[in-house]
Amino acid sequence: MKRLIFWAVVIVLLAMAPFVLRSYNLYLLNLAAVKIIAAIGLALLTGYTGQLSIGHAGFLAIGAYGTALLAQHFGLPFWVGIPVAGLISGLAGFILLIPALRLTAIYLAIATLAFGTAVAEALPRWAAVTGGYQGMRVPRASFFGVNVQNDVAMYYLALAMTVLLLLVARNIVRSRVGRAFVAIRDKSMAAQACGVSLAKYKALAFFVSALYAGLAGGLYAHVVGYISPAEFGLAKSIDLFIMIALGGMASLPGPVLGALFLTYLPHWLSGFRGLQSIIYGASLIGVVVFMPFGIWGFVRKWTAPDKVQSLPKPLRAAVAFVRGGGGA
Amino acid sequence: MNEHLLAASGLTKRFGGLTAVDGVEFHVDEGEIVGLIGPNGAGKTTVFNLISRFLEPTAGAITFDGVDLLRVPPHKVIGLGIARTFQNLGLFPYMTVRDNLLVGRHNQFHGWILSLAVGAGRREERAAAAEVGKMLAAFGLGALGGAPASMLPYGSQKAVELIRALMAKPRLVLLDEPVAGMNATETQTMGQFIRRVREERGVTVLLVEHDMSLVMEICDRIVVLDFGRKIAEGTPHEIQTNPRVVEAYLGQEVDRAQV
Amino acid sequence: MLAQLIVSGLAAGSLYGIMALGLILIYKTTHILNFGQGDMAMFSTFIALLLFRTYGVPLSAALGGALVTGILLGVVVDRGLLRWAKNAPVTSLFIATLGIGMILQAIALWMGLIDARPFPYALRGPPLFIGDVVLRQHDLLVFGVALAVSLVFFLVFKFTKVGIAMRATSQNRRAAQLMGINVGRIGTWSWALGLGTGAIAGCLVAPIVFLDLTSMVFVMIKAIAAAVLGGFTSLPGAVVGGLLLGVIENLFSGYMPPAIAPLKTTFVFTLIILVLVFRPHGLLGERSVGGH
Ligand SMILES: Nc1ncnc2c1ncn2[C@@H]1O[C@H](COP(=O)(O)OP(=O)(O)OP(=O)(O)O)[C@@H](O)[C@H]1O
Ligand SMILES: [Mg+2]
Repeated sequence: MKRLIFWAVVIVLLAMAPFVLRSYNLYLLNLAAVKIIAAIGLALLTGYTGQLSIGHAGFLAIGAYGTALLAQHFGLPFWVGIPVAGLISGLAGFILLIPALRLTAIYLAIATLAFGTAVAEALPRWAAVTGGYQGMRVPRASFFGVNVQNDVAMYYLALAMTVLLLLVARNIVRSRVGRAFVAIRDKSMAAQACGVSLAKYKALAFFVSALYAGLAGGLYAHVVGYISPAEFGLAKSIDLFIMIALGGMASLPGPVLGALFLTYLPHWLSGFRGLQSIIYGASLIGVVVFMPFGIWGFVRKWTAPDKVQSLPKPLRAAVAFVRGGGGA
Repeated sequence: MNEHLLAASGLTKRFGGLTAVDGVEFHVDEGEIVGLIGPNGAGKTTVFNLISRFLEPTAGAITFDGVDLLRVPPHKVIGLGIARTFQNLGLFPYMTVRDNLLVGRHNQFHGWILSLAVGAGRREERAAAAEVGKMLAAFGLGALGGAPASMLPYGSQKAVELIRALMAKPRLVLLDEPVAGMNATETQTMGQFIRRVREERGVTVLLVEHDMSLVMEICDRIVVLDFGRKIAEGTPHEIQTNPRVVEAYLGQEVDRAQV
Repeated sequence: MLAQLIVSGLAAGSLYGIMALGLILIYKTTHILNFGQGDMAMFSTFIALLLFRTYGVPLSAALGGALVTGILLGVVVDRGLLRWAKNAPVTSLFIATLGIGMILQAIALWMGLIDARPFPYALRGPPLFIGDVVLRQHDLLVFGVALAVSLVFFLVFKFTKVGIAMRATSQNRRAAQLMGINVGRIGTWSWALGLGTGAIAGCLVAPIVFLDLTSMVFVMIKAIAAAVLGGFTSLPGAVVGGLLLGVIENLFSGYMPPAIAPLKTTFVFTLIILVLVFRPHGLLGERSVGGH
């Protein structure tokens, strides 16, 4: 009950943001939402199921271009276009299923890299459809005739999608499906002996993960209103990977933290391009050496019951609260 | 027509030039505890992996309750009623004990994936959690449910893995060295545990184990492998006095002494 | 037309092949896919550019400087960083190499690599005509270097103690260790040699594509593709895979209808996925190494 109230307050506060924040800040939050959704999708695949992907920007691109093209050629409104494009992306996820069933970690990573590169290279060169290097304008989003192509309306769309998809991810993770994912990741033979079908659950993981990336891409298309191939290259795939590695990939708070980090850090450091890569690079190495379970894993570890006992009382209460509210 | 619960005939597995299992013939009847023993590298685990369908036999047949096992993919073996444990611990280390057991009854969840996504699986989850709690309590491990599996002492991990195998309500469990690395008391407890599994739940047991006193104590019948071949079969008493078995194990002792 | 496409394909392919050699050497002995290989090559190449342009060092010495930088970088990466994370799973080490690459990008940026910079050709001069095939002098240099690097690798592996130890380590790490090979030191050698090779590839690629922070990353991806074609764990396979990749690309863009021809890279990477799935041991190899 307490937790329900906590989350209700959080959501109400978030819903009030447009009354306080300037348009640009909303726009940043919208971009953060895109990253959060995509990162959660990647975490389900890589963190939970153990299937390394460094080509996820390919799915983001399918979602973004899919949404834009569906709106342009079929006049689909955004609330149909985004889900349909997401679904297309999800189905495209099956492309990687066969490699995933046959290959071990690093080879699968290469296959996903190949997929991401194939998509990223096709976008600018398939100019008749995608508008080439210049990119394409995304038709304005409208809701039953009302123009909603503005940062405030997009903020509510982004918020709704983020909350919904986080809940869905949480439900998945806490069901037999989530357990099957982790079982496959940790001991695939034992998982099979328990009745978990590798083919079925890997397929599911790729589908859901690509679906999330596709939905994120669709949201992105409408948030920025203009898409071009440069935004869906290897760098974007790597960014997504960094988000989950940094935040803690086998959790849901982890990718959220990572996505926020990678949205605001470049913003704050926009004057110092080099500093940004240094911080990314150093934190990646730091994570490998000191925090194998990412920031969230670190938080969990230091807030474990036995550690918490030794904390001063007010801190203990706060920690208990975070633990109760976070949970993966 | 086929009264044996599990039957293997002419079972053969070759890895390149090495014949790990060589024309093995054996059966397990409902309600038995059968020991499968043999020196290191005799092919015991390979037999288990053949039954679990992780390996494709080079030749031979395996049937379970009259069903041709070789037509069944690995993840469906448990659905027929065969559960197993692993020689090198098959627990999922980062999951809690409770979640491990929930994976053990994976097949008994029926919620449709889409409905799970919108949170409709709660009731099923609760029922399952209650069942897991009861099972843990029944084996005196009630306090451990929330602990990550890898945090448990080794002996408890072995016990949890056996309980996990029982979660699927199997008719047959394959236990691969359940007391390896345990001290005498732990071994004793595990022995009683295995007996209880048969007595209280009517589960048939096929047991691979190097601890001879345990094997002799709890098995109804014993099958002995050496270099992939079956060299003997019989009651514990017959096996203990069988010269070929003694020779096989002695050979191993000599090998060990030389190393 | 055909001959020209093949020859230019071989030239591009030699570059992929050289880069792939370094990558695969490191992978074979340490099981780490060095995802910072591109950035590391960029860094060494940039040092050559700095020496040449800013400090007026003669070009040949500057190129030597790149090679030395690559080798030192290899030692630093292995001894200074990866050693600390020895027990981390390979996935984490892969993430770490990514992190190292990012830091090198930042350092290069601070040292002045802001826009794409032209890089001097070591061999300039009129192209050669053989029949109707045009051959740039730089292409000749690339062929020569590819041949030389392959030869050096061959000799090192065949005849030197370090090379033989490397081979043993890549075949069976544990056994090598038991035989008294210092596996850690072999790792350092591999990193040094691997990044040195990367520096060579970088200096040969840079005149063609110009040098900027990320221009080598794409070469690395192509090198990974080349390595996959060659079976991913074979050094000769890496070179042959590189050559094959270059030729396939060129033939595709040469012979496909204009609407499809620009999609050569997409084609190549789709092909890579197919190769990984159906022939994980590469197009040429026989032994199974890719799958389980
Ligand atoms: N996947 C495999 N590939 C190649 N050889 C294998 C494989 N699995 C087992 N073997 C070999 O088959 C033989 C039998 O191995 P197995 O594991 O079945 O023996 P075991 O009787 O279980 O021995 P232990 O008592 O030591 O567990 C051994 O020589 C082993 O090296
Ligand atoms: Mg065994």
